[in-house]
Amino acid sequence: MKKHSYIVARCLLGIAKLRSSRFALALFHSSTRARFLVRQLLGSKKLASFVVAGIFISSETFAQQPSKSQEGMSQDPLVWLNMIARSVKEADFTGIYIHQYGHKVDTARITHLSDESGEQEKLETLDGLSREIIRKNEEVTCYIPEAKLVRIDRKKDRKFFPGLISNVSSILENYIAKLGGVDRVAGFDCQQILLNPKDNLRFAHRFCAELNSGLLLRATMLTDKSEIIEQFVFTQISLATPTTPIHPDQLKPTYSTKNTGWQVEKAPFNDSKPDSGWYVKSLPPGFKKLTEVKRTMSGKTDPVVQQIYSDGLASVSVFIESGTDKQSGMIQQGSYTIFVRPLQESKPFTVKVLGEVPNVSLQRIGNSVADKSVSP
Amino acid sequence: MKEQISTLVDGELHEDEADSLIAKMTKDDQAQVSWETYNLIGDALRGNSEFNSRLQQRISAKLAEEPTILAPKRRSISNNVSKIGWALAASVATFSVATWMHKQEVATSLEFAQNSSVVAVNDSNNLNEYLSAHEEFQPSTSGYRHAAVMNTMLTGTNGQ
Repeated sequence: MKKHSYIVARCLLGIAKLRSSRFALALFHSSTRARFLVRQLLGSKKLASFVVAGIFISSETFAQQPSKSQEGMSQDPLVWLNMIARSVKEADFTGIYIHQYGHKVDTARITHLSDESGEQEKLETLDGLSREIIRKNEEVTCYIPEAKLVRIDRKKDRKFFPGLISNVSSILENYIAKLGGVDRVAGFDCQQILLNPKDNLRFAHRFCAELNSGLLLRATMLTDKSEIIEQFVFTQISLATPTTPIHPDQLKPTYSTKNTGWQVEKAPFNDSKPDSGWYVKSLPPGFKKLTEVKRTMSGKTDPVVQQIYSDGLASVSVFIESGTDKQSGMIQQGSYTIFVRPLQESKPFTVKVLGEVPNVSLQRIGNSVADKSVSP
Repeated sequence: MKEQISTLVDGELHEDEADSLIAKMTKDDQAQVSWETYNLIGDALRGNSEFNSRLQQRISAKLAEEPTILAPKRRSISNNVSKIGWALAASVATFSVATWMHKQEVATSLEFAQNSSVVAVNDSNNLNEYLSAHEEFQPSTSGYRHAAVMNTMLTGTNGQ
């Protein structure tokens, strides 16, 4: 009997080399049972071994087909992530979603249309202060009715849900992608994709992408204990079809700003890369500086430098201001945490860091802020 | 009757019922046989070391000798006391669970991450401006919802 076991094991190992040793072990165990049953049927030990091996080999051959399920859906998470990144540019849709951050909940409607002139998007707040944000490619116009103000800006890296991801390969450097099951959101079946962080310096994400278009219907950011930090989820969505397209009128602003006392402000279009000289020596892997701005803040005489870093999914703001602050360390403010660190260079500064990352990352970033001109 | 006897053997018959059943058993030979049988079954199932085939004979002999009943007093506390005891235990348990659940909620709302302990809880709103500034670059509409941020956006310059 040992000889026959050897034969079967060899066959199975050969197959298993294509998969993993764990699989081989599972196969062998299951084959032992199978052999027993076949032996009962055939009454011959030798024959049983070969029959079982034969069954396994043939089933494996069929299983070596390209990995698509019966429904024709890809089983590769990378394919899904690329679909998500592509869909937001190509899909025409209008929908209402809920955004939840800590205990704050707000609702908005987003409409997207893609045609020969490029991309158009309209985002309207449905609760709280009324806001309309209309985007034509890179030009973003924001309507502020209570101030009768329109602000036109150019924001290159500005992303709005469901356009949360763009560079899939850089995300996969820091997160492991895995497919979950098929769920249902806003009446549509969608594929779950899990993005688990490779280190403890960032949070996990769970996406749910519509099966046909790949459009992101739900995005959740979770702690390692599966507590929800932030979530975007469509409650209602209409995907355009050839018979029900999205009409350009759906992307026009509600407000008429000509000759009605509205003030139009155009932000200066500046392509230069701002550099205040501050940098973060020890950034968590995968984080890159997206942009830097200077802003006036209440109680501060000098403008405050704000640098935004991101790993493709999570973002962190680093504020460097002159002067000292009576608070320092990890401070909890409502449902978010801010890390404050005094810094002494030629004069005293204060560094403040906040973002959707675990406290260890806030601390690591905050503690390694340095001035390039002083320490290269 | 047999069912009652079986329940009595398991020690789960109510006091009053037990008393009346035992009274009946003293007058009924069949009942006594049932009693022996059930006890025998119980001992056999439990693998009682004292169990032996002579048990039945010993019981018969004992019963014949002693007309008075060996009535097991199962409950050491009265019905009411045990009822109150359970109610108390249940309410304490519910209270503990409710407190624990509240703590969980508060914990979740306080910190989303572990590792570094929080030094202080800031009650004033002076740090909210930083959150608003951060939200301007978020994929949500949060950055546009603050009237104050609008002012900052006006005075702040991009790329200077």
